[in-house]
Amino acid sequence: MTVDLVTYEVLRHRLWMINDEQANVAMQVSGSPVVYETKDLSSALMNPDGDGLFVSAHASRLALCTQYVAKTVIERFAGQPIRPGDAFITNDPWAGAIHQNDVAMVAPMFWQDTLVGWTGLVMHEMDVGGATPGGLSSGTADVFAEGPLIPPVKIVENWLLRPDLEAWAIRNSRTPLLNGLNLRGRLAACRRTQERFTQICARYGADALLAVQSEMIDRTREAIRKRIAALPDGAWRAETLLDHNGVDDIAYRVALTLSKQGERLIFDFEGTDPQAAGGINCTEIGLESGVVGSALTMLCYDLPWSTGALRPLLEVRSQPGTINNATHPAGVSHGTVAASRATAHVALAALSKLCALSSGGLASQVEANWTAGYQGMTLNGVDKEGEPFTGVTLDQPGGGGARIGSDGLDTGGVPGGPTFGTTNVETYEKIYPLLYLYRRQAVDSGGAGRFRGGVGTELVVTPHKLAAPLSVTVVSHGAKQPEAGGLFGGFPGSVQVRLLMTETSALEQFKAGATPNDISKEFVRSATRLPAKARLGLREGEALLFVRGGGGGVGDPLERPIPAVVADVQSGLVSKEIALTLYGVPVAGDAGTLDERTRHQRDLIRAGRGGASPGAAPGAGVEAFNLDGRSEITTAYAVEVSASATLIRCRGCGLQLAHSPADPKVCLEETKSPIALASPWNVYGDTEHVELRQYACPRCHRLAGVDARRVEDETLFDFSYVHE
Amino acid sequence: MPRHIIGIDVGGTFTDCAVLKDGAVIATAKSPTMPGAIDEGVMNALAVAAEDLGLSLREFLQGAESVTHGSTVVTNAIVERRGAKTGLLTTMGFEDTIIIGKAIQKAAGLSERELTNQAGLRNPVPLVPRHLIRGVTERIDRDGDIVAPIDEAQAIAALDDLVAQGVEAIAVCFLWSFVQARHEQWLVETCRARHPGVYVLASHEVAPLLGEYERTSTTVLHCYAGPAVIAYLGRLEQKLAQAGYDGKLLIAHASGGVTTVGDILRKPLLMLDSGPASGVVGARRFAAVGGQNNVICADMGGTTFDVAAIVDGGFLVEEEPVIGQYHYLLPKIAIKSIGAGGGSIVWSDVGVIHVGPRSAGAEPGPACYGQGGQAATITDVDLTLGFLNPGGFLGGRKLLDEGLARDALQRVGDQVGLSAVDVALAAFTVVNAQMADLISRTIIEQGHDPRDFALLAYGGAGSIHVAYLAQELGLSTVYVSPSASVFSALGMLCGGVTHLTQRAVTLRSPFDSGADDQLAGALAELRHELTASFSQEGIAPGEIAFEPTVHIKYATQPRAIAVPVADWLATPDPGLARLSGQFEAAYSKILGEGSGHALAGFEITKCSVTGQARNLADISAAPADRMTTRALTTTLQRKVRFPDMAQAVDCPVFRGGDLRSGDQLPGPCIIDRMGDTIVIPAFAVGRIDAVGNVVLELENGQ
Repeated sequence: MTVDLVTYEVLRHRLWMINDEQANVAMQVSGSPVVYETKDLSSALMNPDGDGLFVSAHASRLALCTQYVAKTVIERFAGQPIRPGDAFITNDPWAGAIHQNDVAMVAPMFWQDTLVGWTGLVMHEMDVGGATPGGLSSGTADVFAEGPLIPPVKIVENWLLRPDLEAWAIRNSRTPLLNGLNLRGRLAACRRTQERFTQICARYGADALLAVQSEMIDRTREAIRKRIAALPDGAWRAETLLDHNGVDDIAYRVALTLSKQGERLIFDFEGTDPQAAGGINCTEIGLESGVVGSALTMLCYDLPWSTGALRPLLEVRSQPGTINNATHPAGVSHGTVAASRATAHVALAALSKLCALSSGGLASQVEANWTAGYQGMTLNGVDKEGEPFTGVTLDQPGGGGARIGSDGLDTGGVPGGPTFGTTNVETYEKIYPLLYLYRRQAVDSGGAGRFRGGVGTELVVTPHKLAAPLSVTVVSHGAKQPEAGGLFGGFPGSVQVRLLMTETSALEQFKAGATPNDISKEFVRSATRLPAKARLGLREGEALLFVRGGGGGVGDPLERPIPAVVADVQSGLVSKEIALTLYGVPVAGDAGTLDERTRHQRDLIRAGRGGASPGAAPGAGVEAFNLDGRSEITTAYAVEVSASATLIRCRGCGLQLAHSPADPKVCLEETKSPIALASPWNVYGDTEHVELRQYACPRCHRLAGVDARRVEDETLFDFSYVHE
Repeated sequence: MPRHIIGIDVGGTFTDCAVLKDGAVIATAKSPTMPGAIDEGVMNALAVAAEDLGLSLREFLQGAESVTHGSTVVTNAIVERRGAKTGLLTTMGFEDTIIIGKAIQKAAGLSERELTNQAGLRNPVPLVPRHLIRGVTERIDRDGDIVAPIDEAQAIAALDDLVAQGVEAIAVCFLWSFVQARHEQWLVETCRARHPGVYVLASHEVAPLLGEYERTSTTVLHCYAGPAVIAYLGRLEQKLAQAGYDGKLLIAHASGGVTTVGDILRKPLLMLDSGPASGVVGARRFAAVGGQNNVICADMGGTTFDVAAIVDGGFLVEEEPVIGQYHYLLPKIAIKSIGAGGGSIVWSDVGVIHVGPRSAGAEPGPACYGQGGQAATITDVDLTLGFLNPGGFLGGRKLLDEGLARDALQRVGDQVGLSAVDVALAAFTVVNAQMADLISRTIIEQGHDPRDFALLAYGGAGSIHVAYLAQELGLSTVYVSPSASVFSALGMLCGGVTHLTQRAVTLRSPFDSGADDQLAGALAELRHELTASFSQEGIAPGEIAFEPTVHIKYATQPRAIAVPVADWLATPDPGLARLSGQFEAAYSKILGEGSGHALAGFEITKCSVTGQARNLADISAAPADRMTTRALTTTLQRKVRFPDMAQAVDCPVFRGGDLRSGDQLPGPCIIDRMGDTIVIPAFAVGRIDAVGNVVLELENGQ
């Protein structure tokens, strides 16, 4: 049946609202701060085949899960009756979840006896069992030591939870009451959606609903296809490192080459390291979720998030047995915050490099990377009433990546999670035996740039009125290398920092009437850097310092207007030292005006850029070039397309850098420096083997690229524009 | 001799006035709002109303028993960032709390649609710049124990420094001050003594509740708005006095009711959104008079469509509303909005007709205004279909150009191969469905079925669409008030002086034996506090209706549900188990059967008491003997293309002023009134009820 376009628009809007509504129902019921504050959940409506129609915007990384789960249920329950009032759950990363904490529920939607769609919700549970409280395993090699897997099981019949299966599903958890409440949240949401589907079918008929669903997927796909087709062909690369597999402090590479060919995007992960003997892997579902989540953010900013429409336009190439395509029995308990997160991170970086070349609206979506790596702690102990508790702190918002035209969001949260929120200090102090000494925006954590990366968070906590020793599990990434790379000459954000201070004078200082709020004021007598995964006991008198990294910058920081740099210094977002060394603005000083001092300082910095090019000599092989075709401009390069060739010039001085498909970096001058140059926080990272590489125009010394790379890593050639 | 009472509401475009005497409306008036001189616009509207009654402004004001006022002055100050230069003193180490804003400010107030645009997210322009935020050495823990005493010398230095920077207002917010207020108290007293000209508030005074971000944000918002409100109300009181008014000025507030100027000066945010909220207060009165327990309030204006609900005779409350991307802890009447109004733009995309959320606004406005607007809007749709009278818009003060409307629609039609009329028909259905979707979501989220509700329409643009909305929702009865276009001004006369006070109280199950006494004690204290406020205003305890409420949730949940506890308190030896039971019943009503989970335990988070003095006016149904039935005819007609009819028809048109109680109006027909147009399609029958409402009965429904 075909449906008239007015009915189409009426029902399209209604289904979109219903999907938002069911996420709200689930959040209202949920007792888990990971759900109601961090918004680590996703709701989706799907067609009878399980293809996503609408996914909620809360956590883009989970966008594909419900679709996967629905398809797995359709396949595994083939031949068995699926009735109105049934619902299924699973947390199996080989069946649709990303890690075991993501418990998904899907339910078929019926009109009388006709299947008219599926609905589903995936929500993060505080604890699902396994050796490590909170579920992010520490010190275990494979999936058998992690939270138990729940393969898809029909837990609801006639809209009633089966008590035996509920007991089984929550039995291994340290937080069974929370998990029970969340199960009811998912159920209430699915049931609400069935009521709404029933109303639609009663008014418009099941045929109309089904016709609208397929029309919607077709139309959305067509809109995305057009967007992709309008982008230039070529290849863009991005890489990141995953820290510490939970057992050994080893770094793993996730490498991506994104090729754009006509109407297709091909995400090829060749060069990615093999799966790890620890919990940081993800399955193929985590891999695809990472890719799809970033593609939704980038390409569908004003379109419905329809995974059923988007997925067929993307091709994902990856070897089974690699860290983001791990095979059973690899450990996957860190999946969302490790390999899947890293996949989304490189996908967004590569898509940003591509979309910066868009002549349409996609250029406005370009962002340098946000700090992607989760950093937080799981606390396990006894509360003041003597009851055991397990809880997570999620109060370290990272910095947002800079955009072309504006700074990144300071303490912006997490990428792909617009509704993510942190928690009040008072809320944590009320439920955990902790006292915060301070919590603030972390100076110098955002990547320098013409547009600055947003800053992250810095905080210190100490145990307070402890009834019994406190067990703490710390999980982080971005410890060895700043995760949030800059774009087009912008610097990366800082690394993430975790310091254990065993002999603090904090308590004495309080007693003496002072507030210990600065680590440089010697209240730390001993500080130990904690690795990216650590489990420790914390006693009174000790304290933990965390710094969550900032976002990457965009463009050469020497081009940032002086007043913006001065304002950042006054607001405590940039130190005077960084204002001087990276921005070339000597805020303090007495010789001449600030403008004069800055001009002088910026000339000095430019003169210090130089050195050998990674490729051929500047301009070599570049012929005289007449611009007779398109001209597209990014922050770093001017791309000129004529009938015979595509040429890339320096945006600053117009020097010809390279012919397509050569990367302009072959002609840029490379300067290597210690990573501490980018942010003073970087000395607290495990960054001995990482260096900063700046790439500048050989004539005007304008920065076009800044990479943080391991010393032994080859140059990252990340820009290959194919002449059409 | 009974005197009249006056309600006056400042909206974005018009300042509206309603005058009541003996419970009946004797005059209404509209005058343009004057940006920058809002009090002038108020005096103008009063003059228009006086003229309407054949009185001089002096006679009109001298004869008034009270003047009740609502204004956008606080909203404007905050949204346009034109409030006071404000400083903040807070616990050392937590200066950035209000800047970090829990990382939720970037999305605060955005619809789900806008959230997908990650690169479009922005943090708010700060109300207090970072250099005017100072840390004070002090620290209190969760039990109220003093970890570090306040460093008085350092605190005074910080305070004096802010004043030296020229701040007009100072907010003071320390961690855990709602448990132990000693440090905050000392500092605000010190500030008031040292700098009497500075407007200062402490967080424990305005929001003694858990959560330092929201508490700080609330205190800062109050301070930011305070000086502007003092200046504005001072000017207005002076102007009223000069014009001869010697009575009391009452202010409408967003929690539903009115209060005194003195109360507003202590809590200026109460004035936020008082106009839309007053409309809902009016709707509640309308419901009570008409014997309707459940009413959907639908307010369609120029740019937005606002929905609120009267459920079981009361309104719904939002506990943590947002203004200008800042959250604040001041319960207000819950009103949901979408960008669907007369100015909403009609556009097309891959063959599909869409409406909004972009609006043509007042400038350039709809194409038919002839002010240069090129985009087709819903007003152009309503005109092209024949619903609007081109010569009768806003009482004939604005002429509408049908040709421009049609051209604009045709430009959209050219992209999709449709005629202008077909585009108009599609857009009319699409915008109605969007409004219907907002209504169903609002009602269903409260656990109710929209079909159990009557629909009350007000606002300038709503009554054209309301019958179709009702049809889409399966409703059978629609009301359009005779004062629909000045409904907020009328609504603020329908309540009484109302105060609300609240306090954090944390009690967890299993409850101690003394817990119910502790709760009852806290409620008694709050009630005592309110009684004292009322008595300062000359209102005796016997005239006040108190509504005590306890907020309860399953132990770990984020949001509590407000459970009314008057009955519970009246029971001898009530016990908290019974209260938990009441909570569970309310919970499963909203979220569905089986969603409760008693095993998770219960937690009481706060208690609050609302006190309402008697209503300003006793509005009740007029005597039935005014109802007469007569054969109604009209010679007026215009060509109208109803979406539910195959072609355009010659449709009878009635003038609102010609209609009387008891008149019957079978559809299709149209009523043209001074401020609005009511469309009665073929599937509905209209009648005028005893108090002048136009009532539409639908054949309906589904």
